[in-house]
Amino acid sequence: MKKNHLLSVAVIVIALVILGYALPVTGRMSEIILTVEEESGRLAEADSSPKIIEITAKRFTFEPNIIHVKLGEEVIFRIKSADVTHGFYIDGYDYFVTIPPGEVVDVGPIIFDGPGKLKIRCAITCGPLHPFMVADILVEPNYVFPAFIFLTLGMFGATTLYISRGPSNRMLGVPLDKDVDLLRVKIVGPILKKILQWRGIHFALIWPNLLIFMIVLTTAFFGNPTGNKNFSIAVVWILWFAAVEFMILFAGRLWCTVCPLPAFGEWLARRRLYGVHSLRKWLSLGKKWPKSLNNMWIPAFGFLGISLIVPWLVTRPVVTGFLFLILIVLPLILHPIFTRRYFCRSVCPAGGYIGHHSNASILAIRCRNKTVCDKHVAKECIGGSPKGYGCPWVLYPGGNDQNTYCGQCFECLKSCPLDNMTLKLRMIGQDLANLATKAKDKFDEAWMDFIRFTLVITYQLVFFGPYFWFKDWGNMGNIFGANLATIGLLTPSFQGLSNWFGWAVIVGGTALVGYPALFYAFSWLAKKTAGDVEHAPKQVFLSFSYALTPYSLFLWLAFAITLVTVNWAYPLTAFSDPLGWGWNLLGTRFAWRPILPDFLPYFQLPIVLVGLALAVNSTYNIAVRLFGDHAKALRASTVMGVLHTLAALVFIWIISG
Amino acid sequence: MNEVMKKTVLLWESIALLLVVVAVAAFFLPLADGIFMPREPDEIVVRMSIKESGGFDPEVITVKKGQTVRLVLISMDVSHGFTVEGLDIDVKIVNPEKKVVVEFTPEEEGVYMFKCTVQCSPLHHYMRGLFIVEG
Repeated sequence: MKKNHLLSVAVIVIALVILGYALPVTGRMSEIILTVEEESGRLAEADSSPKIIEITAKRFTFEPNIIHVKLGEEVIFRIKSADVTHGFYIDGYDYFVTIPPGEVVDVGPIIFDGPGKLKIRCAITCGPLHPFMVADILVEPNYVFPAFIFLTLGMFGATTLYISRGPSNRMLGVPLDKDVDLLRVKIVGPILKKILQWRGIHFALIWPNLLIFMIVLTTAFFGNPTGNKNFSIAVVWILWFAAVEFMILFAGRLWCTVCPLPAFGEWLARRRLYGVHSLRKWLSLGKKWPKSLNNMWIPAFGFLGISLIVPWLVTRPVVTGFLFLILIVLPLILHPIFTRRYFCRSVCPAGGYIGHHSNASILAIRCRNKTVCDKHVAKECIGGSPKGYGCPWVLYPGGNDQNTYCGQCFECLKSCPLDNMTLKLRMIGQDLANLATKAKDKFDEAWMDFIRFTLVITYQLVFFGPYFWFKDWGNMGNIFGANLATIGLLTPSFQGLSNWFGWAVIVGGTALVGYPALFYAFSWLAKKTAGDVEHAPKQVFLSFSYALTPYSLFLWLAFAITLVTVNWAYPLTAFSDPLGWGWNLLGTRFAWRPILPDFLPYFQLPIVLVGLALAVNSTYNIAVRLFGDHAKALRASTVMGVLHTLAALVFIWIISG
Repeated sequence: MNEVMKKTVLLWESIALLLVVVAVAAFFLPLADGIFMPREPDEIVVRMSIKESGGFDPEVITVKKGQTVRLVLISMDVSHGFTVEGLDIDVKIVNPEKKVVVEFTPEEEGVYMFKCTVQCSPLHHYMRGLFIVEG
């Protein structure tokens, strides 16, 4: 019976996907026939001259920024530059044209034979925001957008249908109460265990990242002022940023395992680089971390604050340099005062979101048997042993049931004498329902979700959307790249500063007030629709916010894919030429060339839809735990599902509408 | 803890410390330009940035009369041009994506001016340098 309904849902989803993908393709085919007819008609009219579209390229946009063309239409782009030399590239067409100032260059004729949204991208480095100099071409009629809308609604419908059958403690068909004990898997398990219990593993993982970090720091201050030619920008904001999102999904807080930022502070406090000091006492004042800071507020606001200057941060090496200087000095100060990893827990902006999203990860460090831990008096996982330190993240690993504050340093795997700690592979969202129902006053975690969720949509829009004013406001209208020597070039104009203020109000306001208010309204409505009278609206609101954890993680994955497939050449080149001075250390110099950019929306859509399904199903699981009733939970999650679907539609609109 | 164990600990900690020093030393990477950007004796690397962030590097190029030189032109930021007035060197455009190599044999002694010929920044017209041919 259960298998049957799972099968039927799977069939519906697959059918929807095929239908959705088939629509634009058949559109394309019928259009080809149409083109042939038109072609003959046109020949008869003897008016076969292609349409000419004039474009002005200027730092950092094309005018017009949204270009409408008809399917099958023959187009010539007549391009000129208003300032410096630009390049011209269209997704899916092999043009890499140079547009020097003072010249008018014709590109084409090009026949647009597929519907949908394509991007014009600048192909010649033209300044700091060059990688984000894009415009949209809409090939109309745009069958892709309605097809994507249809698919999104279909996904919402299918997921609702699925949860209406009352799957207990499951996520999209996979049971949540089952997991795989990775360290007991045949062959792999014992090897992995040996590696993780080796004292040197932490140091061995941190060291290469420390090396890379030092190169980041030096290139940020002294390297090429143009972002995409500088190691610090290309490696951190393209490679690292994208990789971390995938790491969160597959390996939880693995980044925190290998992160070099707190290493100096920790080594100093331990007086050991890799071993366990025989005294097992920290070289530290051992002050108590203030209770009011023992949460996620600093990381949440830190991430928002960083995002408010993100057009500068990811394009000006010196800004990145100062951020990382702060991030390496802070733990060095905090570690000797408070001992342990309070910087990572409650200060680091990346640590905050990585930790929170890790609750949607498929990997976790947990104990095998809780009663064994509770009965065990010595508790080396807290106090430490000659084999390993007590939890540096101030947890009781034996009782830990969430990933938020577990930094995956593997110390408990080493210190546990009962072999009771292990790595577990589980389905996405195992801990969410439990976490959500316990969240009585955890506004910090809710707002972390709102901030991360709003910002992924903002990032997609500001970096890969056509709206130049939005980019320009965030960028304060500045056209210069900067390293330490030329930092003065970043002095903003009054106009730039006031525009930035507008941008900060829009972005910050949406993340802090706008979206949370909308979320509150929907959760209130969900509570009413469910007919719940026991819980305070605040409780429902906070609990339901945890469904955003897997959702925004998947939206970030969709964003990360764009970032990497379009700009992969920059980080690879940066490894050969970290300072952007023309070196070729490793022979990895590559010309910029996006990978299948015309198929990007098709890659992004399934990721967004899986995120949507996870959000709806998580809401249901949370609601079941909260209300203890299937019918109420179903009604509530349908209402919340409408909001989540709306958000998916906004994202879909950005990539295809 | 016995002596042997103490020695192993010391050994491993020292190796780790050495590795940390190596990693931190990567901070001095910019000083290694001479090693990682090898220049042949007849090769002159000219890095070009907009005037606001430094202009030509070097700003004064000295060559010997009758000796062939290879000018390696690298654009650091946006596209530039490279023209030596009065000599037969005129590179229309150097894109940041690709370096341009020019071979040239000066015939006459003198001091010439070179400049950027592609609009590159507000201070574009100040982006220039001296090309000296010595006897």
